[in-house]
Amino acid sequence: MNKVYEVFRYFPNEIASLFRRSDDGILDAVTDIRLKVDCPIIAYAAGKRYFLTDKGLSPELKAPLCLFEADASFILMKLSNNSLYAYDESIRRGYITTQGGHRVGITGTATVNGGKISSVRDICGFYFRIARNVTGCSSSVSSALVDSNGRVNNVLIVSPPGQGKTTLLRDCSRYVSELGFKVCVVDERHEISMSDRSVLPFCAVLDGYPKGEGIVAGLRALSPEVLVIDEIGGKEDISQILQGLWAGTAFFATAHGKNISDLMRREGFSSVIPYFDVCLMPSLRDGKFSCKCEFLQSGVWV
Amino acid sequence: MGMKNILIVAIFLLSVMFWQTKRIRLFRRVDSLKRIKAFVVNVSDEIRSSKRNVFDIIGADKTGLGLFKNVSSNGELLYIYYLKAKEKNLSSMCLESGDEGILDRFFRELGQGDVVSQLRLCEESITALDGCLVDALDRSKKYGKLYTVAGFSMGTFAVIMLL
Repeated sequence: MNKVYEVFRYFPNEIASLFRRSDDGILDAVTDIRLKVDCPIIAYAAGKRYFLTDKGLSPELKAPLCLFEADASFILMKLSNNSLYAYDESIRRGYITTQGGHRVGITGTATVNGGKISSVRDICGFYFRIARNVTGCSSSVSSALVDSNGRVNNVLIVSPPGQGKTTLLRDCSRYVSELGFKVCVVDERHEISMSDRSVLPFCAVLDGYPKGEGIVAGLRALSPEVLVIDEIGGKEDISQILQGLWAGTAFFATAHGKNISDLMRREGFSSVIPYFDVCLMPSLRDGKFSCKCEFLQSGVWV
Repeated sequence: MGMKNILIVAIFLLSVMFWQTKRIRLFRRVDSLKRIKAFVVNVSDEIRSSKRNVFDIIGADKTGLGLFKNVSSNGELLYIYYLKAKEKNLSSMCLESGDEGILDRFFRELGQGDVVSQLRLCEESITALDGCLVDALDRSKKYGKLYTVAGFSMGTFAVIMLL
């Protein structure tokens, strides 16, 4: 089944049925669906923008369908499985990950207490990112994952959002696990394994573990040769990765950035980047995936 | 035994059964309200401790409420699911319209807010159910015996009249 159909279950029937009227080719390529109260419903496919109309997805802004408040309430209740209280923390952080590993960004009005978001009210926007398992997308860079001595390299995947970092990370994990290395995936947001045990059958997956605790648990109990984590950002993540690197485990990690030099400017990254051997920079243009690869040689990325 | 005697026995039994049914309904209402209260208390505990989702709590049905028995969920919203269950199973619970109103509100608002608001909803529902339970117990005490006596006396009265 096309992965995009998995997210239709969260939409009111009328909206889902309009999506189903769209051309299969467009639906196959949908990467994002954006819904906001009183605004046209938009989908992105192969780098192009489409509007939802009564004939399905159309590139033209003619009589587009808008999202009503009642639809937004419906989507929110479906996303939270009728249990908003169970998703407090997730909504505060700005997203919910659905079954199938699709991340839904949620926007509303934040209530701030003591400098921290205590709750989000008037939720009005839902930004679905369709997760896809693209087996083989790492084939062009697979030779960079393991060095000539048969040792797994430390790999950092860097790109701006929406370029396929997580998809590449998933496939790299699959590839090295199939080579026989013991791989432990710390999947804080359920996106790497897509909440599907068949996606990474040879990897130990710590599903929903915060990165820091996952790294510690993995190192202590799972004797990994490779630890996989998605989206390192904070100082805490970096210090935990350093602990893992010093413990002799290889890391596959992703981070937001345009390139290595941009990343070096971010707080804390300069201390961890020199430990990586390979930097992969995936990009998605007009639906076509490509990946640049740089190696750290004598302190210089080439 | 002649037709007349059969008729007399039938009328007596009908009278007793009619009033006994009314009596049973009183006690069933008490029992149902106790189960509903236990269910709401359980929901409140689950929200406070485990934050399990509503459908899991209902599916486990630790309190034996039975409201959702034999009602399958097709991924609809909770309130729609409740309305389906209500149509199928609520009549056997012998509730009054006030009791149903509390249940309606509880299931309309369940799951639609943060932990604090949900705990408040549970607390309010428990208080309202306590009020209904006091009334139901009071009525079962007051009218329970009366309905039994009424059944026998009216049956006897009808028999005497026919004799």
